[in-house]
Amino acid sequence: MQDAAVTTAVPGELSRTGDDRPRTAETTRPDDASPDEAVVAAARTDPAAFRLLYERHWTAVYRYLRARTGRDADAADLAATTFERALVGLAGYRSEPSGFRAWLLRIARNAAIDASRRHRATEPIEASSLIALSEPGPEGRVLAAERSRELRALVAGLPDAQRDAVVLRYGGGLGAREIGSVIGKSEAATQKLLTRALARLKESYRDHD
Amino acid sequence: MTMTEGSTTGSATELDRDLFDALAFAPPPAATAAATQRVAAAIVLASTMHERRGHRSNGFLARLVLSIRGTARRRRAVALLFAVLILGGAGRGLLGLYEGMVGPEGSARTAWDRATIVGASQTHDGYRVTIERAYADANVLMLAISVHDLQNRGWTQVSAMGATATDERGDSFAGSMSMSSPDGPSVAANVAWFTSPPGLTPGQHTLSISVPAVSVRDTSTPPPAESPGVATGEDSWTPWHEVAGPWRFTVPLTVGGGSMVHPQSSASVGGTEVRLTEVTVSPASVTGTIAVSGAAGGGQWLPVGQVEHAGHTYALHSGVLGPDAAITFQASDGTTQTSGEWTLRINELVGSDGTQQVRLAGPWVLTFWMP
Repeated sequence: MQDAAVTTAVPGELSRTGDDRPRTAETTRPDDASPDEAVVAAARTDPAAFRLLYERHWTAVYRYLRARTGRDADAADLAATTFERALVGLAGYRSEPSGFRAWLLRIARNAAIDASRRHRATEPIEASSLIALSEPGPEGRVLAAERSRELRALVAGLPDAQRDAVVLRYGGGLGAREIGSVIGKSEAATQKLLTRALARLKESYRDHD
Repeated sequence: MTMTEGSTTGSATELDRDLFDALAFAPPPAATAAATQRVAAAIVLASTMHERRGHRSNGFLARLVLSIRGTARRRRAVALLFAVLILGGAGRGLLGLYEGMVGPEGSARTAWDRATIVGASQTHDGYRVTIERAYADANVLMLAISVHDLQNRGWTQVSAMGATATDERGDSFAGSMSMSSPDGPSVAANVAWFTSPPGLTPGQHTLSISVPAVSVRDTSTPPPAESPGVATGEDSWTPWHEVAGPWRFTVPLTVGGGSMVHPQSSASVGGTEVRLTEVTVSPASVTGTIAVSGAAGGGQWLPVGQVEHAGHTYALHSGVLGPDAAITFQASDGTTQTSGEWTLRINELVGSDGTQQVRLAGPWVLTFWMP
């Protein structure tokens, strides 16, 4: 069966179409976080429902871990570990304002920290990628790729806390409150952290223009 | 996004966009497939352990899954990987919905493209159920079933996902997956996916198909939490209700073939031996049976890996634990080009020690030949 291509849902409650936003069968509610809670409740009594949570949040978890680890295989392995731990720990999840994705990314962050302790050689966010800027190809694509590599290298050079906040924001798709719940800071402190990180990035980014 | 202070300039907006682009890593398909297999195995084991603890779920999903498992138990095997899926996409028309549900490639696409157009309808209590298409080979049966509330009773959704099928010998096709996608509130396209019974020969057959109930979704009654005085617990509340049938069909169908071999090849890693005892390759799937021995802790194991042949890779997507520790796996697609060398590559075995998941790292690489 074409598992990866189909959409999984708890019957009647949720479905997922092409993007990451949750929808009901009748209406689209892109900003409503409650569907996750309904699926979590369903998954507690029937683990098969966890599949929807996996499909909905896989990309965000992978992107966050890919940005942290710099390697596809490490990111995928840690993402799978994240969901395995989440499934086991689902009974302990309590609905929180920051939402299920933030809870997942907290597990992902802990898994990445555990892994980096075991493998000190892990290189974060392609820190050396500025070296390879001259690949051939259409000009626009090359420039876009160049900008992305440059930004990833700049993000890699941020202090740890700022880097984590930026990656959670732009890779994991979280807001300041959710990021704060992942890294253990208040929403206001997280806002300041993001502000400082973005200001630093903007300055460096501009310097490279 | 909600920008932070000092970041509302055009430059910051551009930086936002560039940061999203820079960190929008696309998961490689192979890495995604491997992770999906691991998580699917974890879900299967969690389901098994959940049931062993005596938990029962009251929802529609659970009832259907349990009915599937009940069938499997009667066959003295426990089906461990399944899915019940409801898709979005109202208003696209039934054909478009079916096309979207089967996807661009894989077993479902192969079965859909090779399916016989049946078009048999039965109406009961104002609900018309139609077997639109059917496909069967040595490994799988696929049924495309539409349901229509002809009286348009105001449900918010309908579905027909609990179909059963037997051949003329009375042997059942074991259910493993159903999908449903609404085309408005009164119509839905459904795809049911079964495992063919042993000994199903190629050629003309007559299938008996039954849809025991149609499900309707009624959101006019709020959950108990919003209804003071309602005694049922929140876990038991569901907006879905069943309308009893059955809707019965007799469907003549040409069953496609398949090639079966008994390789008896084996591979050992770290004292754990995997023996491949049987493989069946059909146009829409590859199935096989393995036995695992020597693994620390014993128990039952599900394989994570793929089957490879002629430059193509077929990911293992389900496992069934049978008697005598035999494990039947099913791959994501099949082929008619069977002849030559094949490889079964098991990257991990996933099992349980009774309290938590246990993973054994491979790879176990087993080769075999198909005629």
